Amino acid sequence: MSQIGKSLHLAWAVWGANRRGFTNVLIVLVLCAVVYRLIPAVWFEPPLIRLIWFIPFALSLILVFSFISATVDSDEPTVLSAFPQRVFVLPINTLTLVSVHLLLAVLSVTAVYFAWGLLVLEPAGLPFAAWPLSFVLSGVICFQALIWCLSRHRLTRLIIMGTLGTVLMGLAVVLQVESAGIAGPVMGTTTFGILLGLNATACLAAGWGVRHQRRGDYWTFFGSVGLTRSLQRSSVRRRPPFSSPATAQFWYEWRRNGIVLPFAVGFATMLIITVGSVMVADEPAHILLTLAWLFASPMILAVFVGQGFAKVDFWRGDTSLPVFLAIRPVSCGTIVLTKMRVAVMATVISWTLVLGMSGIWLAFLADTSALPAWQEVLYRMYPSTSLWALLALCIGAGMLITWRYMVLPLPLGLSRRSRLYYFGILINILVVVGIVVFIAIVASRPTVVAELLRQFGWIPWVLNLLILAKVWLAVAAWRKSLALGLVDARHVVTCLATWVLGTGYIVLLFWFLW
Amino acid sequence: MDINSGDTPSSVIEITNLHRSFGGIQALKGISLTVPPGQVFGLVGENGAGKTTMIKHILGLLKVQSGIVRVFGRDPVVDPVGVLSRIGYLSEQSDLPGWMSITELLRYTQAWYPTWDRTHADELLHKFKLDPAQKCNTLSQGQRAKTGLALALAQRPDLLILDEPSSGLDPLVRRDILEAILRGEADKGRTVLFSSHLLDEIESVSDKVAMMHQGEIVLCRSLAEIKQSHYRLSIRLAKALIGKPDIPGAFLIEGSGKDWTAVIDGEPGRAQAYLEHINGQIQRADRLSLDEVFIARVGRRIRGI
Repeated sequence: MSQIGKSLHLAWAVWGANRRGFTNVLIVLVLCAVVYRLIPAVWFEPPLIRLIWFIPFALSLILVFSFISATVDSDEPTVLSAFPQRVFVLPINTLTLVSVHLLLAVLSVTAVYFAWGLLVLEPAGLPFAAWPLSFVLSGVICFQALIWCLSRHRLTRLIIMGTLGTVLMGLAVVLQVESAGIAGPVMGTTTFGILLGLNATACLAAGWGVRHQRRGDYWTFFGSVGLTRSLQRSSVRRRPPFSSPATAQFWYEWRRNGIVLPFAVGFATMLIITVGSVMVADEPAHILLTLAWLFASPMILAVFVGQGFAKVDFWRGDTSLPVFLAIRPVSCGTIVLTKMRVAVMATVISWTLVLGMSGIWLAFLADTSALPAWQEVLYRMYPSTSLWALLALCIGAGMLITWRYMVLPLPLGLSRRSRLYYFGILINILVVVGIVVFIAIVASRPTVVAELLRQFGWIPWVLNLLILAKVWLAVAAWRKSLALGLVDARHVVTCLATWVLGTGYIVLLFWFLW
Repeated sequence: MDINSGDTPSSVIEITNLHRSFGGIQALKGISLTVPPGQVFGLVGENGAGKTTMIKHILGLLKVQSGIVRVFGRDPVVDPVGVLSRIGYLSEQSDLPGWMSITELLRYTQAWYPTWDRTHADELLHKFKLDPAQKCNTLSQGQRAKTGLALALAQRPDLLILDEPSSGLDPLVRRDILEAILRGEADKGRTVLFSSHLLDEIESVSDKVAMMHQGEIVLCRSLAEIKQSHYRLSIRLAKALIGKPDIPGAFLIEGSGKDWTAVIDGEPGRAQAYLEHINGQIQRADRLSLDEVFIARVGRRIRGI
């Protein structure tokens, strides 16, 4: 068989391994093409939420890339190379192996990019341009090269990939701001040269990395493996045993699942501050928009991270319970309560990160000249209230909402029913996106609620029925759990009290602000 | 026996008429089994015989569809904490969390078991030559099995369940595992349920053996009884027979004409009396190894004899 024949065979294997995933991306594309045309134009107008309509587009690009990348980035515990051995033993040279995967990733992402632009975004009147694709493709090539070259260094890989992504997105935003519009001329020779150089380096690094992996070599950061081992040995010796099974489970949950939200929030905060700095430098009034995104980021990320957090293991593709955990003498109630406690810690740390980084940004880096005007507006709206107290109350509500979205999908994630779980994810995300869109529309057109109620008088009744159904479902679930001995009465009282206090706090705060 | 009566039942595991099906496939067909305390109980069967499914019921990882499962007199699904805190488990598919180092793994596991023996854990790590700082995802298959065994043994469990622990392992690791079981036997009151399709392993450590085939237990006796009661008889008849001779206690008869071979369960004396009646005689009677008993018992079913 010729090299071209082998390449086609390899490409077919990648497609075959992810046929279902590619088909799902195609289905979402077609669905969005139909739905976006049916949605009234007013829903696309508020600038605060225009970004939301691009989320399925961005997710499609990420998914397509991850399908191709996942085909070679094996997660088997003993396989340390990024390529599984079965690919290495194919009678095909390394150059072809690397080229096929890179080319496939580039072509697939390009196809999805233009399909979305021409079939969904442009017909819906949303802005679409070809130039950001060059940044996306650079990201694809660099990320793939990093996955291959740093296969033994997963944490380092994560940090570098996060930083690179932030830089590329920041650069793209700078170009957009400079060009004063998405359709304007943006790609200068310097930028083009930087991207071209980056891509060429990444391709060479990818080839080098895979060639070394294929012959069993791996490299370390100046003996970092030995250093890590020494540190690990000394740190482990100092650690006393866990005081109780609950403490051990908390540690496990935190290390495996809890840490994801603070990491994600940290990266998002850096990205928002980078982009926000450029925007605020251009127009000081953009500081409010940047702050809004900063404070919304833990809540928005909790919606997505919470879906993975709900599973026993965030990083496992399925919802099954690993045998290692299943044979521990732990009750189901303990697993759930530990997850809820870990979610509290993840929420508190995430918010601390946001507040700390925002504070540093405002104090030392940002142009805050537009803030006093907004302070005046707030003083006029709430004359008898301290703005600091109001801010503290809002942050408290934000923390509650973040925690709620972290624990909301727990029943689905722990049900061990994959189809139910993925269906639940879809519904949860659609509901959240719907709520955000609605709030943004109301913010830009306050009369829309009255108009809707006038036109569809049955809406309040349906909402009431939905609330009643939810309460009934919760009561039934708790009763069943009590009957099966999964939880005890103390757990029920604790959870009920938490729910009443949390919900009461949010409702009262919204009533006060309204 | 009242299997719900308390913490010290006369049997560690009591399974009564257990059925289990997955979709249309019946994995277990009315299994009944009793494992007394302080014994090494060997469970043998070909791949897909239902050994792992039965063990999952014992661990409470599968809810009983029909039948009764009691471990230490308790239902493992209703009381997982009470049952699992007394069980050490090592499976063929060692799914140790790859992100943990061995020390972290021991520290995490220790918290769950009040009977955890830290000194014994250190001894086992030393004996198995395991580096405590090594991450689980960098361990070889043999090292993973040894780590799993160290975890299971260090908790000093009342019941040790080994589900094909040595599948795919080299002879040295298999020897380590068997030695650990033999040493564990000396611990007072410990019961071991050892599932394997490697019959030489079962033969070297078990007190009692159950043979499984296609979801059924085809034989369950002490190892000594099995080895003493099974014979292969070489038979010579005076006249050729068209059909098979109806030898008492025989469950496998092969041959033709005047020369026959029979595998019997029982004393050869009964077969001798019958053969004298049809002018035949036993030319040779050999005791069978466990391997040969298994092949005779299960192989005949597979071949449809």
